Order: sequence, then C-alpha cells, then structure tokens
Amino acid sequence: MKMAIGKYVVLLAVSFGLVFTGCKKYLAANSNISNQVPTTAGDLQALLNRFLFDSPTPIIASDDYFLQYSGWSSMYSIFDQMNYLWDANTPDEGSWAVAYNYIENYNTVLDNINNVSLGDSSAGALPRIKARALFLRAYTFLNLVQVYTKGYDSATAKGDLGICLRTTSSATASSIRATMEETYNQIINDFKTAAVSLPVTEQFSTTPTKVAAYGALARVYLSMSDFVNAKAYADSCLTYNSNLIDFNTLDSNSRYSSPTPQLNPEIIFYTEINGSEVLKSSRALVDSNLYSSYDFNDLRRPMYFRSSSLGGFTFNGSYSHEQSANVFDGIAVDEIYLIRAECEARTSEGYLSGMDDLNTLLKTRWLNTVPFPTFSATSADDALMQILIERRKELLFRGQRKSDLERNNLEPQYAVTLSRDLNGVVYSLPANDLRYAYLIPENVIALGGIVQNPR
Amino acid sequence: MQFSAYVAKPPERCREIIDKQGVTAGKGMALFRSADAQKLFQIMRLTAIILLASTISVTAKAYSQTFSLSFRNASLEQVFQSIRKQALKQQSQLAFSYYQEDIQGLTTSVEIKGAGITETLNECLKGLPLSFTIENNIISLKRKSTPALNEAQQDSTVTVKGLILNENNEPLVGATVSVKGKTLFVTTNESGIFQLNEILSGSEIVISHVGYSTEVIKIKDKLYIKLSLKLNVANLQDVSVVYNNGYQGVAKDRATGSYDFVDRKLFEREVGPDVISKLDGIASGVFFDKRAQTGSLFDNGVNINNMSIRGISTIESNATPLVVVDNFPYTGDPNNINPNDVESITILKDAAAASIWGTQAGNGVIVITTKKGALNVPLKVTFNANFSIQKPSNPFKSPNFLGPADYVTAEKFLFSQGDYDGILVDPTDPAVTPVVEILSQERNGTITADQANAQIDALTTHDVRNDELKYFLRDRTSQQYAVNLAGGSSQATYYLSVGYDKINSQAVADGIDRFTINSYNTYRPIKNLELTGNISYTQSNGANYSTIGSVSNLYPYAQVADAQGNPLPVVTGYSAAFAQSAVQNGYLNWQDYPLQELRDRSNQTISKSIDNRFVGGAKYTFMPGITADISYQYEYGTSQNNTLNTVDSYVARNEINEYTDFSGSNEFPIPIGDILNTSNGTTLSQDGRGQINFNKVIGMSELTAIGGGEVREVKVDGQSNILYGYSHQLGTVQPVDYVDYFQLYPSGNYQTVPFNTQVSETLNRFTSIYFNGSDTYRGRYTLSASARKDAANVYGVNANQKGTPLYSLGGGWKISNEPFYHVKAISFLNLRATFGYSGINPAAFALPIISYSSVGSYFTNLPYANVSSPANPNLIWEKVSQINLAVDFSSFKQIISGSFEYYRKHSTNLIGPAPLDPTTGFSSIDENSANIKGDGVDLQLNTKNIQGRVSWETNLIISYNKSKVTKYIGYSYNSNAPIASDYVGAAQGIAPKNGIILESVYAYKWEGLDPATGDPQGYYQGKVSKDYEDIMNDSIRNLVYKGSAIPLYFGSIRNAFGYKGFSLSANIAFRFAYWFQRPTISYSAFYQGLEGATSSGANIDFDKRWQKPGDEKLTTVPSMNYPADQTRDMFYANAEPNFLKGDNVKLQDIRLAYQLDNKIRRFGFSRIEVYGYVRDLGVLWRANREHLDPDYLGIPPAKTFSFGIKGVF
Repeated sequence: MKMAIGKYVVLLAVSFGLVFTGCKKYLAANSNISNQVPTTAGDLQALLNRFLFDSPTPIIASDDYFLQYSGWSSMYSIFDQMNYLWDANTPDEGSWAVAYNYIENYNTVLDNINNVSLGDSSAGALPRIKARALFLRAYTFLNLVQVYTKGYDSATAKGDLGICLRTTSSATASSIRATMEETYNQIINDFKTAAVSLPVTEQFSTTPTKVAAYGALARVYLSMSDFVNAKAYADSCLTYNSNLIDFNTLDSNSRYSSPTPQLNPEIIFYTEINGSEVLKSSRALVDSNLYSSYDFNDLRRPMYFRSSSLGGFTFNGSYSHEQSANVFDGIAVDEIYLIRAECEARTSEGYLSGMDDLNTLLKTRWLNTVPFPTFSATSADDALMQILIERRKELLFRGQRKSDLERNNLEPQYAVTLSRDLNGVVYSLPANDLRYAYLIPENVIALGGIVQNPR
Repeated sequence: MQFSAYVAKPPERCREIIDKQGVTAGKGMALFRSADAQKLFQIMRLTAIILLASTISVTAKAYSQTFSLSFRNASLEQVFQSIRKQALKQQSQLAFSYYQEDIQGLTTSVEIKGAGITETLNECLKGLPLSFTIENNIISLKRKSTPALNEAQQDSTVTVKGLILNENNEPLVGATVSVKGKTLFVTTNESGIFQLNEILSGSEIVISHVGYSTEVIKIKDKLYIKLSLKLNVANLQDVSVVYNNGYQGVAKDRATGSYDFVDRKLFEREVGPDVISKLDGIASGVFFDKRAQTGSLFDNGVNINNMSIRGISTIESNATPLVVVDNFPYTGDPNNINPNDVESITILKDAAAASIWGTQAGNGVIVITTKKGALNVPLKVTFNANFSIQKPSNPFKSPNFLGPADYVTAEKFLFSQGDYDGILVDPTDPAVTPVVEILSQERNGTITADQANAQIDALTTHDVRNDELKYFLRDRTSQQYAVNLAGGSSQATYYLSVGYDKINSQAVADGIDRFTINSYNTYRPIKNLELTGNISYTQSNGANYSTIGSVSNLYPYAQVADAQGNPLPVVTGYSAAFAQSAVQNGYLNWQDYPLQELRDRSNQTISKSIDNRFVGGAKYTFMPGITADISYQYEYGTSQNNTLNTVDSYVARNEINEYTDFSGSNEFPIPIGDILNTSNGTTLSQDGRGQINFNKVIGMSELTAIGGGEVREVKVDGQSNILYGYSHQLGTVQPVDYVDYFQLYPSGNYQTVPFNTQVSETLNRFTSIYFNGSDTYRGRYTLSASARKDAANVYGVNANQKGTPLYSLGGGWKISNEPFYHVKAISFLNLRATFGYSGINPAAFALPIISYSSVGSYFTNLPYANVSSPANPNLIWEKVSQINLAVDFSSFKQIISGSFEYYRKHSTNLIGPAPLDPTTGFSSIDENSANIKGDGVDLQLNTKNIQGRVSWETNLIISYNKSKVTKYIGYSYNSNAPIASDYVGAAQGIAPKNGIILESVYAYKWEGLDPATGDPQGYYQGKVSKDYEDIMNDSIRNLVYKGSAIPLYFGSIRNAFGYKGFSLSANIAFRFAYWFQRPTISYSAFYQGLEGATSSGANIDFDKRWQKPGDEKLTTVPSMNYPADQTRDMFYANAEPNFLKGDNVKLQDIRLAYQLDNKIRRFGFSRIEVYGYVRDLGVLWRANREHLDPDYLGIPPAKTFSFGIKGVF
C-alpha cells in the first residue's frame, strides 16, 4: 500500500509540474486589449491624441456675456450659479482634476519616453512625441494659471502663488504650489524646448506645431506684459502662418455662419473649452453696448451674433464646430496679429506698424463692397486704445478676456470693475480683486496639503 | 460501480461499523451473471434499443490467490484485515460479511504459508463456531447452527437478486433489503441492484428506504425482483445525499462544510424557464436583492447578478457567486441552462465547502448537477409541458406617472413663470407639448382664453395609459416543453434531452424563445476506464421593440391613435409645426408615429445567442479506491444583437434628416435606407483538469482525498457596427462619409456620421493546484482539510503576487454514534466546525496602465488612450475567511429534523478606492483598503406534522446576516471627508463607512414643511434650517440612522400537504429588519421632463404637495417652487419621511398537483403528474402603511398562473 501511494504522489507531482511549466508565460498574457502598459511610441502618441478640453472658467468669469435671472435660475448646478457671481467661497470644483488628469497623461509620456520601443513609428518619432507632450503640458499649465491664480505681476511674481508644477507621473510625489515666477518659467521653458523639435505643420490642427509653440509663447509673454518677447514670438509665428479668412467669403445669411474648424486657415492650434451650461447660447447673452460697437459694415456683426428670443443677442461666431457651449479657445492667426499690434503700440516707436497689423486683420473682417475705412492713430496711446478695443471685439468668447483684464487692471488707466445684475441685485468684481484667482477644490487643499488662495 | 453487502444488527443496536471494506471494495458488476441479465431483460420494456447483453464474467480471483498468515491469539478482525490486504496486493478484493456479535471476543492462532483462500479460512476458523461461504469475493460468516436445521435450510434456500427503482424508475441506491425475522441486511448498489444469498424459501423480504414506503415481498422460488418504491409523501431529509462540489461527491454524513442541497423535487416545484431564480425562497442563506431588477425575460430580474450567498463579501470586485455545471465553471448566461436538465443544486457556503474553488469562491458557489443515465436501466422517457399566463403591468399603478390634469397644472405653472419662453422661440425647434402651444397662442392673442381652455379640456380627456393598455400591452404568456431519454447498458449510460421555452412578453411584439439539446453519455470500453462525453447546445432568439418604453414616457395626454385605431403622430424631439413642415422642405417625414412603428415592426432588436458546451473526460481506476481522471471543457458562446431601424422608423428618419441641410451642401450624407446596428460577442472558455482521487478504508478510518491541477482560460470578444442604407431585401449597405463634419439640422452642431465600430477583447487565464482530503474515524469523527493555490494573469500585479494560497480545515463529530449517547428523542446529532479562506478575483491593476478608447478621439478620430489608473504595485488579492459552526439534528423517526449554522465571515484586503490628491491626476487610487465582517445564522427546520394517508410537512428556512464595514478609507470622489450627502439614501452601492452595516440607510433629520411656504425643513447645527447646501455638507453624525437596506432576516416557510395522489404546497417568504426609500417628486427632474414634453421625473406625490398654509399638517411633500432648487429636491428625497420599514411577508407561490399512478400503467406510463402553480400571490403583511412593496417601487407584478403536465414512460 505504501508503495502504491508513493507511486501516485509522484504522478501527482508530475502532473502539477506539467500544469506549471511555462506558467509564467501563460499568465503574462494581457487580460484586456484596451489595457496596455505603454511599450511603444504608438502607445505614447495615443496618450497625446486624447482631445484637450480646456476649462470654461476663464470665459465664465469674464464679461463676454451675461445671464438673465431666468437663465441663471434654470441652471442645475449650484457651482455654476455661484461662480457666475464670483462668489468668494465657491471653489472651481471641476477644472483642477480635469487638467491634472491630462497632465498625468503627459507626464506618463515624458517618464516613459526613454523606455519604449519605436514599434511602427519612424525614427524621428520619439523626440517629436516628447516635444508634443511638453507643449501640451505647458498649455494645460497655462490653462490652470488662468483659473486658479491672479494675473502675473512682475513686481510680486517671486512671492505670488502659482500652481502645482507636477512633472512626474508618480502618484506618490507630493504637491507643492510654485511661485508665479517658477510657474511661468516652467511654462516658457517647456514651450521653448518643444518648439525646437516640433514640425511646422501637422495633419490635424489639434497636434502641436512649432508655429503653435511660438503662438503660445507670444500669448504667455503678453500675459506677463513682456511685450518685447511677446512681439518676437508673434513675429516668428506669423512668419510661418499669417492666413486670415476673408469674412466676405463666408455666408452671413446662412443659419450658421462659422466655418468648419478643419477648413479654417486661421487656426494654429485647435482646442475647445469643456462646455458649461452657463455658456449655452440659449442662456448667455452679449452686452448690447458691445454689440452696437461693431460697425454696420463690420462682418463680425452678422457672423458673430444672432438675435436671441430672450431679447438682445447671443454669440454665434466660434471657430468651434459646436454651436452650443463648446467654444474654440485655441490659438489662431487673428489673435497673433492682435498680440503683435499691441506690442508694437506699447513700444512707442512702433505704433504705426501696430496700426498696420490692425488694418491687415480688420480688412478681412470688412464688407468688401464698401471702401475699407483704414484705421489710423495719432499717438501710441491712441493706437493702443484702438487695438485693445478691437482685441476685445475680435477675441470674444476665446478664453483670453480674463487674462486681458488681469493684465490691464494693473494699469490704472485701463482697469475696469465687472458687474453682474441679477434681478436687480448687482454683484461686482473690482480690478485686482482676490476673486480673480478661483478657490482650489477643498479636497485638493486637504489631501495635497497646499495653500488655498487668499480671500 | 460498487456493491455493498454486509450483515448487521438492526440499526438501533448496531453502533459499530462491522466491516465496510465490502462497501468500497466489492465488485457489484461481477455478481451479475449473464443468465440473470437475460431474465432481467425479459422483464424490462424497450430494452432492445439500448441494452447489450452483459459479457462480463465472474473471475473469482480469490480462488487463485495465496495467503500467508502468522497470528497468535489474534482477534478475527485482525486476521481478516491481513487477508484483505494480501488479497489487495494480489490485485483482488475480498470482503468479509459478518455479524459483529458472531465474532465478538473470538480469537484464533494460525500459521500458514502460501495457502489458498478456502484453506486459509478453514485454518483460521478451526475450532470456532463459525462457518463461511465465498461467493463473488464476499466471504460470508455465520454462526454454526445445529446440523439438522442447517440441512433443512440448505435444501430450501434460494438466492434472491433484484433491482430497486425509485418513483421515477431510476435505480435507487442504498435501499435496505432484509429478511423478515432475520438480521440479514443488504443494501442496493449504485445501479439499484441487490443480492441476498441463502434465503429460506417462503421468507418475506422487506425493502425499505428512507423517504419511501416500505414494501414486503414473499419469496417462493429463486427469484429476480424488480420493484419501484413509492415516494413517501412526507419525504425526509435523505441520509444518502451526496453533495457535489464540482470536483468530487461528498457524502453528507461525512461532510464538515456548509452545503445547501436542493433536490430535484424541490427544484421542480416551481414553474419557470430559468435555473437561478428558482433558488429564491428555497435555499438558505441565499438572498436576491430585488431593488435593481435588470435581467432578461427568462429571469424577470431575479438572477445571478443580484444574488448573494451569506451576505456581500466584496465592495468593488465581482460580487456574483460562481456557477458550476457538473464539474466546470459555466461562463455563459445561466439562463441558457434548461432547468429540466437539472438533477440537483448544491450551494457551497462556507470555506470548507467552497475553498476547493479557491479565488473564485469568495462569493459562494452554485453547483448545478445535471441529469444523467444509469447503468443497467432501461430506456425511460420523461416529459414536462406547461403554460403560464400573467396580466400586464398596469400603467395606472405606476407611481412615476401623472395623469393629464396634474400634468397640465404643472405646465400652466411653468408657462406662467416664463419657463417655456426660451424653448418656444428656440431656432432648433425643440418639442413643445400641445398644451404649451395652446397657452402660447393664447398669450399671443391668436386664440381667446375660452378657446384655449376648451382646447386644453378636449386634449386632456385622453390618457395615454389607455392607449398603452389597448395597443402596446398584452397578457404575458410562456410555454415550456421538455423531453428527455435516459438509460444505460452494462457498459454505457446515456441521457438525451430536448427543451423548448417560449415567452411572449407583455409588450406586444416582444418575446424570446430558447431551444436546448443536451446529451450526457458514459462508456466503459475496457475494465477500469470510464469515458464521459457531454455535449449541450442552446439557442435563444429574442425580439424587442423599443417604442413601448418611450410611449410610457410621453406626456400623459398624448394620443397614439384616433378613435378608429389609425396611428397618430405624437410630439417628440421637435415641435409639431417643425415636424409637419419637414416633408414640404424636402426632408423625410419627421413625425413620430409610435403605433405605426409597432405595427410595422420598424424599430426592432433581434437578439440571438448560442451556447455550445462540450465536456470530455476519462477516469481510470488503478485499483479500488484510487482513480485518476482528466477532463476538459470547451464552451463557446456567441451572442448577436441586431437593431434594425427601417427607413420608416422615427429613429432612422430623424438621423437621416438631421444630417441633411438643404441650405448647406449636405444632402442626405446618411443614405435614405434602413439603419442596422449590429453587435456581436463571443465567449470561449477552455478548462483542463487532471485529478487523482483516493478513497480507502484503512482500519477504522475512511480516507478520501483528491489532488489535482487545472488550467482555465476565458476569452471574450466583442464587436459592434452601424450599417447605413441597409436593404434587407438585397442584403446591401451603402458607403458613408465618416470623415467630414456635417452641420446638423436644425441644431447647427457639426458632427461626423456616427461610426461606432468597436472591438473589445479580454483574456483571463488561471492556473491552480489543489488538494482536498477528509478522514472519518470510527464513523464518528471527521477531519477535513483543503489547500489550493491560484494564479491568474491579473495584468499588472507583480508576478510574485500573482498566486494566492488558500486553505481550510474542518471537523465533524457524530455524537449520536457514540456509545455513551442515549438521548432517544434526538436520534441523530452531529456537530461540525470549519475554518478557512477563499478569495475573490481582483478587478484592479497595479502597473501604470493606459487604456485605449474603443472609439477615436473627439474631433480627429485618432486612436487615443488615457492613463486609466494610478500605479499601485502593492495590491494583493482579496481574501474571505469564514468560521462555520453547525449542528445537525433529527428526532426519532425524523419527525423533526434540521440544522443550525452560525458563521463569521471576514473579508480582508478588499480593493477599494482610497482618496487621492487630484493633483496626481486621479481622485482616488485602488488600494487594499477595506475590510468587511459579517455574522450570520442559517436555520433549517423540517417537521412531519402528519404522516399517513393524509400528510403534512413543514420546511422552515431562516437566514440572518449582518455585514459591517470594519475598515474603509475610500470616501466620495469629490471630498476628502465623508459628508452627509454621500451617505443618505438607500440606493444600491452607497458609500461604505467604518463601523456601519455595509448598506446602511441614513436620512436627513426632518422638521416638517415650512407653514408659510411649504419648503422642506431640516436641521443644521441643531437649529431648524432650510439651508439645504449646508445640511448636505454637514457631518454624517447629524444624519438619522435608520438601519440596513438589506433585510437582516429573511427566509421562507413551506407547507406541503398530501392526500392520495394530491399534493398541495405553499411557500411564504419573509424579509425583516430593513428599510427602503420610496420615490417621490423632484421638481427639478419633473421640470426637465416637462420642458422636454415627456413624463420623466413625474411622481404621484405631486398630488399631495403643499399648496396652502395648513397643508403642512397633512403632507410632507414640499410645495411646487420656481425656479426648481435641486438641493431642495435632494434634501426632501432623502429626508426621513421617504424612508419606510421594508419588513414584509409575501405568499410567494402555491402549487397543486395530482399524480396518476397505477391507472395509467397500461398506457405505458409509469407516472403522470398534472400540476397548477401560481406565483406572486401578493403581500400578506407589510410594515409600511403606504401599501408599498419594497421589492417593486414601480409597478408590482401581477399573479402568474401556470398549468402543466409531466410524466414518465
């Protein structure tokens, strides 16, 4: 009996052995084709292909629109209602987590860039992918800056609170709020590094290019009031792309006038804001004074606006193909012209070229059956004032207004107080108010141990 | 194939197992000589088809064996043991059959070498008062009688052989055959066969079996007996129950673990097309959470997905029990199993029972044992046919629908507030109800107020629910037909079944049918080798027409047909004017005619699923008690869902029109034609297993052990697609431009044509090694142990953590078998205790994983991926430990029997989300962050209240389970600390919290309505408050704790009555100690519904709303406010008044059957039963005064009446 049992123990052992021979390989199979550890350049590129939605807050916080009480009260989100009124104690719940989730993707690309194989990709793919990731990260950082910090003030930037400059994909790294100076340095350096390896053109305007990096740098320097650098990068950008659409070629009688985004030659880098119910065209109305400031021969008037049943006008002119709340906030040639024009006007000897740039732009916006009233200025200040007005009129609903307000508010002659009238109650936001920097969500403060924006 | 024969004292005196070697080692088949077989065949019907003459001849090997013995004053037992062992070594088995008293105290001295068996025995028994006979390797010993008598006996003795069958004419194993007035017993073997030697002619033999009526037969000559025992109506707990755990059979009397056994009789009591829902109310510890009823027409939402065994063991991972069919996990939809193929179901509840399934067993295991043929049994044909009918759900009973009057009241109110102003002038022409159109005309002055009122009055005389009843609903009917053939020869067994089920849903045009074929064959080509082949095929086809759901969501005065029954358009999607003008603008008709669509079947989903299963196995017996088997399962299932929206359907017309803008350049980018949505899925699972079984009696020990290894792979593929311009007649599709953006009309959005081609593929692999053993000593003490190690390709988990070792230990003590045990009243008493671990398959990943989206990126359609979870390389497998303490008892004659089990379950390392600083990119990280501790009791009590011509039997099941969260760090995603709004409510899957019952019910403290405004009032910081935002963000300490959302106590009581051929039984189910949340009005949701011209968000509580001061004394429903305040609605919905005690007692079903017996024999039937069955008879008692059924907060189901017939021939 003992022998017999022994025999079967051996048999058992052999069969177990068979089961586990090659076990490691057998169990190494991927359990879900959708789930991959990034191993190839293609995997990293896929992480960058996710469409980048920006925070709607820079537009929500701006004076590009207003709500009637019925529109305000019919919103279902209390956060949207409170944020519309610049409520001092309501944090911007959504933007932080969304933006840092994108940043995690970009950091995963940057952390794995040296560990992946080329796969199907061509030899030059990896440096390009790295540059794209750097560009997209900087662009997302910039979007966060526009929500959660006050404007860049070179006098105090060394001590002002910036954002968390997360540059690793590790979930265990702690969060620290950088200063504004560090924040801007990071963004500028990333864009500059990216610009070196990015190609001039891409198949899709959602993919970063060298031109887009120059455009972004012009935007960043402008928001820092560094007009010399802003002008230099605007110049570089326009060297590659100075296309403007002649609005006469658009059909303003069409129910929907905006050209489809891919066909729009002005677009340098395409992003949209994450639609918010605040900005729905059935709710958000444009100030009638602003509307009437457009000349009758200014084609932006019929292209940008349509009359609303609520009374007044609603915005219709986004380069986005969505007519609802997802408006375009990417980089386009018209913005770069305006940046360069402003920088030229800010440097006293160049204001005439600033007016030239303004005329180049506005000519394409003007009805071509009437003579174009060439804009002229008598002084740098006059030029600047005109350029700033046209900037406001051109870049409506483009996400740049909040940044412009913060920048201009630092100069008393351009400072404005915003106000909202809700059922007769007026809420106002004075220039340089602390509320320009939205509160960071409470769980970020508690779990990340970072400093909240002051109130 | 075993034969058991032993001589014993009557049971009450026989406490010692005499010698059961014969039971395990005898060769039953060898006893069956061809001459006898021929005789048998003559008796049997229809044998020619299947039975082959037995060709196995007896090889009395014992006669050629040699033995060497050397004993001095040794007990006979010792000597016999030595003889058996020597025989075994010589590849033969010997069994000794004797009467313990006969050899008590006898000793012998023997000294022989190489002697034959006869010589050996003569030598051993020399001088002792014993004689022996050897037949078929069984050595029978008996006391020598006086020679005279002995001779007389020998002259007239006969050998009686026979076959004992049960009520279904299947072999009855373990029936006792005894000679009246003698102490000679044998029991029938696996084939129901027995043999009694040397019976005095003229004796009476008594054939009995627990649960069956005893038969007495007088012996006249050497004889073959074939007899069917009748089922004793007052059927008892069957002592010869063998639990099947999917790897081995475990005899009930030697089991230490916790099993629940549902035999065929109980299982077939209920009429229904599926297997799992039949366990509701008949298995202890099994709970179906009926709050979330999603399922197919087969199971009505009572299925594996809302089933739990002994409470919930996990938080994030898969919480469904494992389903095993015969030996292998069943990957397909359990609804594909034909319940008529089920022989019995064993539910493995504790660690000792379930641990054999390792990491798949943490949620419990359901082992379905299918019907099979048996050796040496003639062909038997069994059939079952039944028909069920049920009234449709009455839409007038829905609490989530408001009649025309109330709806118009709300519309007028919103209109007066200007809520529709934007919608009425919206350039995208959204849907506006006729009443709002009229109100708008009145305001514009187009019509007068009187005209407006008259028009509205005319409209609202109509109620869409009447249309629903008239045109869209019907009685639900279901039909079931099943036939099976079973039998076997001496070398092969077979089972073949065919089943067909058809359900016509209450929704006109919806239905499903299922066709099953199942065969299970065994074959013994050579001695010691048994081959098994099981093939099953299931095909089911369903049709689903989706418009019924949308009709019940229309505004209540919508009219789908005129008085003559001609279809009318209703307002959906766009305003009536817009929809009407579409055709003249060049578009397809843009109006929605739900009734026309129903009649044309122009919007129908056809689903088809096929499940194939093949199981092959080989079992080789090396020597008695040691076998090895290998088995393999291949299961391949496909499912296909085709939704065809013909060009006549609103869906297709709407989509084609939307993409067309005549003012732009896009004319019909979606071609005018049908749109076909297809989705296909395949599941391929393969299992291989090698196992060695050991089954021996060594001394006083009965040893059972298995060990083996297995490999399992499950591959699931899926694909979906949309085809445009599809022509059913031609089988053609048309190409579509997926790349360009088209501006939609009238919304103006730019969109590409939906592409929706998705491909998914998952592959799960498992490897395991396992061992399971038990030893029963002296028939009283049982010890069991098991160990298993599982590994899987859980992608990302560090390789060294891929495997998880699990084990269990158990012990049993049959006190009533102890010599000192003398409690007459409790004739059977058994204690059991087990402890062990099982595991749960993880659903989390540990390496940085990027997840590819199945659709392309927004805007560019490029493939894109996202980092889907943060890296956590420290994840380990979830474990469930369980202690089980049990006592089984039965009174004298088993008038009262039952079991009581207490268990404590501890789930540890549960993977759950732990909050993470969102700056990392994630709001949470999966960690082994939670523990759950559960205590529970399962009580089963069976009583035979009346026995005899009239019988009455009661079965009671009570289960208690209370699971508490002992650790949990994953709070809500948006906040670091738990706040009140995270925990209120009684919805499924509410956030767990330390120290509370897993699914707890919390409510906002309630302070009535504000007498001035009708606003709901709660408490904040101890003061009455209407600041809902603050209340919702308050600490959970300030919430009112109600109790569990899942009944802590549940069970059923079943009474069965019998009289002659009649049997009547009723099952009453009860659930106690829990709370539920009733739906109520949420004005914000209701207004959204109104704005969209639908009834969504409506609730009859609207009728009870506060309207004027004083109402607050009569109602808790807040006043209608404008604008709606979501936080006010959320506060009220989760405030105290909307939580009610769920306790209830329901009459689950009644079954009445009549069994025709002997009268039908001459027609060839051995049994026919006609039966009637009614289910969901209603609530007998409930704790809530609102008359609500906590299981069905919508429309409670109507009674189902079933009639059927089943029989055997």
